[in-house]
Amino acid sequence: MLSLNLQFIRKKNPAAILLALALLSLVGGCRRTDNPVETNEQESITTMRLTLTPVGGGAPITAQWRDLDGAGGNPPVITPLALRAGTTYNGTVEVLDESKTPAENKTAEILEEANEHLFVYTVSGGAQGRVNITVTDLDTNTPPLPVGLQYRVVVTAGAAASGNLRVILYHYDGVRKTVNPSNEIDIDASFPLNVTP
Amino acid sequence: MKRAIVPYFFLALFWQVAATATAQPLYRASGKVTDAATGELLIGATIMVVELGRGTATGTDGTYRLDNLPQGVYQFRCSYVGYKTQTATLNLQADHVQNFSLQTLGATQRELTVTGDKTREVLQQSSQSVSTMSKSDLDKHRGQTLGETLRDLPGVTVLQTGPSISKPVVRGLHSQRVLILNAGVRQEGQQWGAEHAPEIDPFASAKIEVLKGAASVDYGSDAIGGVIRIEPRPLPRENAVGGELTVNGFGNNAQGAASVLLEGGVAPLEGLKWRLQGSYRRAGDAATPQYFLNNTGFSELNFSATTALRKDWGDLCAYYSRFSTELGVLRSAHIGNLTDLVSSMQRREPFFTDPFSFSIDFPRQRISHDLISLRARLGLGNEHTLQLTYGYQQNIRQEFDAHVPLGTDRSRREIPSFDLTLFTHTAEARFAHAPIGNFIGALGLAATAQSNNNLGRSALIPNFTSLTGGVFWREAWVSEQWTLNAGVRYDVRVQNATPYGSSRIAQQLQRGEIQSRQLFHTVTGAVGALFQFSPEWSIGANVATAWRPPSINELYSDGVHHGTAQYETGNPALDVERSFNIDATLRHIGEKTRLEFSIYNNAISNFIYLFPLVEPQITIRGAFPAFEYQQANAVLRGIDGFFEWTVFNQTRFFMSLSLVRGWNIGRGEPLINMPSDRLIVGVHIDLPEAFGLQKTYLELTTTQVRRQDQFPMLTLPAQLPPALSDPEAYQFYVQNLTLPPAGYGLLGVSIGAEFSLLAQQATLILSAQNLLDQRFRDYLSRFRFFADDAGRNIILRLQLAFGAYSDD
Repeated sequence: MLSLNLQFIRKKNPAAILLALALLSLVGGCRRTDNPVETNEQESITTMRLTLTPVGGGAPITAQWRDLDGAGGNPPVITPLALRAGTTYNGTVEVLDESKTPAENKTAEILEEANEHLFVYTVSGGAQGRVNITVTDLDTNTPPLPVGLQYRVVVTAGAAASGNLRVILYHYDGVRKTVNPSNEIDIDASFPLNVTP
Repeated sequence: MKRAIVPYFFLALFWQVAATATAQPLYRASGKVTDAATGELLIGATIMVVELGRGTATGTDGTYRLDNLPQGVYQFRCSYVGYKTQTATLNLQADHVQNFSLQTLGATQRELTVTGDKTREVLQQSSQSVSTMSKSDLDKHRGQTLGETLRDLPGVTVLQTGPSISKPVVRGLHSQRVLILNAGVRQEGQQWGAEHAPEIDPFASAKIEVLKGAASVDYGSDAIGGVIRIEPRPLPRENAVGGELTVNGFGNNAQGAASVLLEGGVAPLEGLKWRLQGSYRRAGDAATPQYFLNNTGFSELNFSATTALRKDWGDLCAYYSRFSTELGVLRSAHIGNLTDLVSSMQRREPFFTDPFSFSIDFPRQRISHDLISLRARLGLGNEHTLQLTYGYQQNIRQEFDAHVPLGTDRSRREIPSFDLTLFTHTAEARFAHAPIGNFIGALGLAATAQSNNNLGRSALIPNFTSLTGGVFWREAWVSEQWTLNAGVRYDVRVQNATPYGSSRIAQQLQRGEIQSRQLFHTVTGAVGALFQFSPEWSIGANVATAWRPPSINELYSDGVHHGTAQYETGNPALDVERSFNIDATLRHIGEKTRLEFSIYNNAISNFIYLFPLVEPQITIRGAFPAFEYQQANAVLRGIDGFFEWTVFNQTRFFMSLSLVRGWNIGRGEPLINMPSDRLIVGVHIDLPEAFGLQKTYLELTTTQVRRQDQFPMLTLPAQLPPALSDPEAYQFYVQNLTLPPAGYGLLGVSIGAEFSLLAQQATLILSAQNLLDQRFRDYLSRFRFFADDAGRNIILRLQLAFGAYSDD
């Protein structure tokens, strides 16, 4: 076929020349099939850790959500949050990528983009109303809006209770940050929660 | 559907083959055929003796001769492409000279070229059901996607992902189960994805045929549901340059589209013809009755070039086409996790309802498809022919996700999440032997080589290479009234996957825990019969098998499918899918009525389908709807057909019906995602000529879609999956995910006319889809959880021929 085309070109047939050019551009335009950049990217968070320090002093307590093999495969391993009634805690949250060695701490990146991120803490179940969480840090938006890397947990005195703590990290990606949910969720994880008297 | 006027009255005469008495004296009829205007001799004009079913053609001197005609009264019919057919009545008592002088066809009479032979051709076209859209049918749909163009055909529905992405569904099957032949080459893109539309220029086709039911003998694997054959128009016969300009505007999404076609011949080289064609489409956000579907615009640029050489030894044709598009995916359909999905399902309006915009933002797709088709048809002497086809395709699909992982630079979104390049070479040789007695048939060899390469930020499917080879043989025994056909084919496919990305399946592939090399082979066959039991009626029946190896995504998918936020897992142990299809088709062409009606039973063993799991995929971003490729025996049954009735001379009533029932035998429940029952009823009125307007018509169409009541239900497990962050959303999800939306009815209207503009033929069509601006959601719309389907769309189409272009 190609030799046929060439004959036509010699005869200056415009259609054949065009076709041949198209063919050539196509051959020239063939794509590279090797990777030009490191593009093998996966969701990079494996772990979220909550650390709560009692205001009156005492050992901090932690709760952890961890899925080392990422989505699929093994289910996440979650350690529950064990709170004491009548105690107030100062809390922090850490986000890690433990699939890398050494593990990467992603918390600083959230802090850097604090004006586009918001952690929301919601308690449900029997502990609802017993455990109140308020975010204590602010970003540099005008007016300043909460970030949620730091928060205060107030557990009222009373009987034992259990429930769930849901932590959502909203990302306001290309939209103005508000205190309402965005449609971009970076983290949405839950911890079982127990209150002991 | 063909809506051409057919002079049916020839037909009745045509089939009454006169019994000839041998004792009678025999005479000769001869004469010449000329152009009435120029007096030029016409070479190759056909002369038919209607009563005898005998005919001949004029030779290079423009004359014909028919010997051994018994005494009698005959109708001699003389026809030639581009000319009015002429009939002369002869009382043959001696040798007779009968000359014909033919008049060229005016614009209004072109449709009369459809003759009695055409009727026979339609009635005896195939023992399988075939719906054909001619150029004039297609012209009424220019500027729309392939799916939307075919959606009114009986047995065809559409799988839609927003207004810009649609795929045809044939008898309940789609994607890898419906083969698309573009310019003789099997279209190979990433057709497995439900939101991957076929890469077809809506302006390039002059004829589309939809062959319904299994057809593996001729087409190899994948033709389980049917075959869509798309053909550009034949190259011109004359050397003079001509062309056609098409412009259209769509009110709903402010879509503008234009296509230019230019064709001609090369005088010094007899038989060499060429065509160039290009089209552009640009659209913004589509509108539902209440809000805009943000980020559903697109920008599409297509180009094709054809050249062919026609000689007495055969013909050669080279075709190149390029399709490229960039399209937005509904912004509100970009969801995080199951909670987001549920809140979308519960909302009346989508998350984003911003004002109209032309911008194409994230998430979006960028696709290009290049196709080269080289075809040769060679006469080997003694009426043997050899047909050779080679195709090369390069398909690039890039999907850009709105989400970038935490802490990643936003500019990373410019790197596609998926970036797939698929190279395909196809080759076919088909040898059609000369008729042996009443047998006509063909033997063929076919081969396909593919390689698929990932470049994106992540991967859903691995890289792969595959080789497919097939050999087939088909014979038909043809008589006046009967056609019996049978065929057999053997195919083998070997496929080798290499992992890309770090998904679980990719890692298993890497470690050799799952098979990366797979071999599939199978024998398929078909037998069919077609019987024209009266001049106006025929019936065909067919038993055919077809097969399809599990596709790469079904075997190895593992990851979140962006844009749909569903976690899809493949199954490397899947087996070959095989269908056993029985169908029957009744056809009728009468003076005032036309009908085609089919009934079918397509039993598919090892049917592969994507099914939602009750257990969601828990990730740190929340629970994701999880889907798994499953395999079970299934059966699809249905009826489809159309009926047309010319009630008065100018008024034609038509209807088209598609019903399909899919049953999952393995699970003992209806198959998921089967199209809803659909009935289209309309009336077409030809209006009188006025103000220089010709062929003016008014057409009203209603489409009734019943709510799908055949669907599987998910059941909540006794114990909720652990680590759910939002149990309430989860419960709502399980209970509502498979529920179909309500049925709906739509009204459409179309007014068209032909007129003369700058001494050239022009066609203007004004139409409105969803005239009453109804809110609705279709069951096969993948965005039914997020937003309504598009509302009223007013479309203006102008077509202008120029130069030596004739619309025949």
